[in-house]
Amino acid sequence: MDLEFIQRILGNLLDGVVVTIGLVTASMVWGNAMAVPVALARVSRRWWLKAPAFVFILFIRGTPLIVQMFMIYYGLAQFPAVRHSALWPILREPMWCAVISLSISTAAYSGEVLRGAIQAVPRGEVEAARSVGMRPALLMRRIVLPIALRQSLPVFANETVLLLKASAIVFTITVRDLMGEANIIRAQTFRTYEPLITAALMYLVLTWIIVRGFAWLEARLSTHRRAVSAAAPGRVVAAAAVPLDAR
Amino acid sequence: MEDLAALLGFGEKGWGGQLLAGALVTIEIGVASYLVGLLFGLAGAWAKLAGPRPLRALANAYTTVVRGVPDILIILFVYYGGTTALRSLIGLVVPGVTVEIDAFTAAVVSLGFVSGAYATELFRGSIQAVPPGQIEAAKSLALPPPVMFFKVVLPQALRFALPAMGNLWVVVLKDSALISVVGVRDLLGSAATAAATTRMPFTFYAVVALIFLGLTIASVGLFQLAERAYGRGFRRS
Repeated sequence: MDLEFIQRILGNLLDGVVVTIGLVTASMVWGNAMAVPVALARVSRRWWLKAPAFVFILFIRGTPLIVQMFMIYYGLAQFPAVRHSALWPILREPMWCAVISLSISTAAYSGEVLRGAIQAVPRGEVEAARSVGMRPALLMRRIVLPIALRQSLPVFANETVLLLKASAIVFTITVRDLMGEANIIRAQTFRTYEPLITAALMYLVLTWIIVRGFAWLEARLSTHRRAVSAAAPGRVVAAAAVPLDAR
Repeated sequence: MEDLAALLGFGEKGWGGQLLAGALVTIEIGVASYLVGLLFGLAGAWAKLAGPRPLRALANAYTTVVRGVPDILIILFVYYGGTTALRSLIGLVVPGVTVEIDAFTAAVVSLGFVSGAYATELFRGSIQAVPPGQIEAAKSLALPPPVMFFKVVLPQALRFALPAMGNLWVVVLKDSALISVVGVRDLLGSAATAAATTRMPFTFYAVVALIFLGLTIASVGLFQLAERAYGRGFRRS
């Protein structure tokens, strides 16, 4: 390990960190925003809402993210209609394609988590809301979604770490994120250890920030049940039982 | 439609043969690195649960690093860094001998290393789920520890582990697509060649996606059958 060399590449790697943070934040916001309608469609009783959501989640979770990303970035240019459309300036940009594919992926994975959480909302709460005459939309907004979202926070922390890890493959479509910068340095200097180990340490720090951030959020959002959770731990843990899910 | 059939078929202009060869490479890499990963996982779980303190710390560091660092970074690290290190190590021991590590082996080792970290947590959890009474009974019969592990603990832990093992297999299969980044001609790699030659990237990447989808659906089905077969005699909840 050549410390002087690391010092020289630190600036480039930090540029990459900024890109990675932007990428992950944007995909997290867009993806989770899309996850709510996906989850609602998935638990719907209408087949024409349920079936497309099911197929969407199946397709995204059943295929590698890198293939989806290649379909969007390299693939869409195959169609003249896309190349002549108003969206082309966006779909031509690697950064946009990266955000789009990461958001779509997040929508499917988080949608599935949220579906589980919605179905795990205690029946009694739903029945109580119905008995005071709440309409389905209000019931969903005031009762089901807040409970489901809070219950699935630990899983969302996990999903966000997986999103950070998945975001590293955007360098294959020429985005210069942290992984991209490290790989460029590796290819240009023929040094493997210094850039990759430094980048790995930076990823570990980012992971740590995500984990701590979610732990803080969870503590804030569940102050009211801190005394209760000791008595009824089963409920809180239920959402965390979702199996591991890398992309 | 006819054009598409010719393009993806096995004829003179078809890419079917190449895609099929690539799919086989993907499955081979997937299966091999899954098995390597399970071995890493068993070793890691043992180290975490019963290993001496330094080994336990090493196993903890292993899972923490792999779970916090992108898979592709570890693959590149093992692929480029590992081969260099191994080569210079062998050069030190036996001077003048150069060893070429082929891409396939490097791919399997790096993917196996990554999936091993997930498998470590998986086995640790399922071994801990084995009722303590079973272990006490085995101890009271004075079974030697290896016999106890392989005849009492592991068969019961496997039942708890199977669902997560199915999940891990799908993850490894999807992860194997990353190997094409270092130039292995797996399914994605051969599709990239076809896409560049025919200038029809969407078609070929969509075909790759559908093949992966078929493989995952088939795997999920197979693992469900395995779970049912292995869970015979247990009440289904």
